[in-house]
Amino acid sequence: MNRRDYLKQTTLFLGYAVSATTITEVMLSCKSTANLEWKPVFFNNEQASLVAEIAETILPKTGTPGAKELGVPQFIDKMMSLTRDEAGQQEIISGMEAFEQEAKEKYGKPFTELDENQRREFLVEQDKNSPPFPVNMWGIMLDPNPEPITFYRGIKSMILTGYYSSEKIGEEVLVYKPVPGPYSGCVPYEGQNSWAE
Amino acid sequence: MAHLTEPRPQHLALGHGQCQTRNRCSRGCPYGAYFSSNSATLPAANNTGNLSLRPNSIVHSIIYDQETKKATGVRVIDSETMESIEFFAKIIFMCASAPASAQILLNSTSDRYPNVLGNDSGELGHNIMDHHYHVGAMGTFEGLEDNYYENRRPKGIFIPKYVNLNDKTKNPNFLRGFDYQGSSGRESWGRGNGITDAGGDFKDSLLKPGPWTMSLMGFGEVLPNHDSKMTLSKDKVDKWGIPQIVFDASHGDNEFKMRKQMKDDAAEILESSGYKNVVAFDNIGGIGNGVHEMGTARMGRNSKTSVLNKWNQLHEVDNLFVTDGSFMASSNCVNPSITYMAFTARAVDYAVAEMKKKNI
Repeated sequence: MNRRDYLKQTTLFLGYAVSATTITEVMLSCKSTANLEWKPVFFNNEQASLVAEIAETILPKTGTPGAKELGVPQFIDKMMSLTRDEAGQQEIISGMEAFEQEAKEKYGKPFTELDENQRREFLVEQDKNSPPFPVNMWGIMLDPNPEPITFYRGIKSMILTGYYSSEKIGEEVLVYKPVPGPYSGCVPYEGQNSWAE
Repeated sequence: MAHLTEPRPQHLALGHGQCQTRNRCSRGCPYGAYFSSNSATLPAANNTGNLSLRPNSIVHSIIYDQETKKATGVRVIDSETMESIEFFAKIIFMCASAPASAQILLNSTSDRYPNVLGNDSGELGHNIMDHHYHVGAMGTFEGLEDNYYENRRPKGIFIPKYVNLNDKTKNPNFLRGFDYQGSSGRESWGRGNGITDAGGDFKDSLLKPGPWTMSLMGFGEVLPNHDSKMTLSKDKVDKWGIPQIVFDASHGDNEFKMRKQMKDDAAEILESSGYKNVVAFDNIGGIGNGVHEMGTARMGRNSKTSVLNKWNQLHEVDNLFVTDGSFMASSNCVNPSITYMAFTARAVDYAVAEMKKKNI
């Protein structure tokens, strides 16, 4: 494999390879529209609503906010429009269409019209049928012959990234220390949430 | 990781401050704690009062005087105006990176002087080395769930080379050796990508730290090989009119044999330390993946087989020095920048002494 292909392949990692800076910038630009009726820039309304329902099924509102409340669908819409080339964008759209088709074949109606249990059941099945991400370390892809990343594996990764790297989760839910201070390699763990990294 | 944990007065005087353990090195360090030209060497050079910086200058070639056998100057292209400008000096140090310095030397010809500068040996642009990595293993640890860490650490662990040090550690399958860089920690929410689940419990469980993991990444020495080379394109130039580099370099048998050991040893180290789910990996990629290209103007005693002498001075041109990775005759397996810097300081010290003696 030549170096260019290698790098190209590495950037397929939606949740891994996109730099923290890019994510921060996109998140900041999402914030003001997060709780509004929003107008997608990349998806059409139907597609945006599908992404929103997938996101909310994976990360529903509990004691902590759900994916929709934090603007995760908007984040994905912007990431698609700003960070993917045309081929990559087309791949997501075709993946979405196949996903919808499968839901219709199985339940006789679109995903967005399924009840909560059916949605979750369908997503867990998609998860089972998607090969895991190839082994990676420091964001470097370490499998010379990786299996293709399915629509569901990719969108789930973006949903997790959009949610857990959001300002709200980072500052108010995870344990946030703006000025970390010296490192200590061994302290007792008492059930608290993870550090915001 | 070259971050400054205990600044001394000479560091602080340059604005090269103490590491705040934020682990945000990749964004550029506002404390000047992460070593870089901006935080350390340029301020030091500026303090001498003798530094002139000329930005937007793409070096095109070295100007050579056949009569005196001296390099007399440098020809640059202004990247903004495309203007060709010449600068002259009694002594010239090249430190442009291994491929770029070789490119400049290979490009330093003219109709009047058709011979490539400094290439009597035929080794200029050859023997490209790098470090081969992307091989090793990772695993998870069951237990120690009552322990965590506090704050961040902008570095990991290092296992120095342990093979082919002496007769006792000799490996029959390959020459030279490798080391490991590694890291450990508790998994974060990213582990959710590998968990087949969705819903509220899934979401909230990812807010907690996951199991401990440890990863070992091997870095191996690449042997010099005359056939691994770079040349200048005969028909393609870059936007400044400089011939493009054509690379023709690959890994050899020794590297592949070494990698097998690197992979197996990493897995064995983790397994014997009690790690579970150990996954070994190997994805070599090409020369250049390690971003430690070196060897394109190698150093040696014999001017027939090397480009530079032991003082990083061209065998053929005594007032021209090359002190980036070009001079390396072997690649070892450790990160090379500090070695380049040490050799640069040594070469400068020599050059100053020789100038004082009027030998250059």
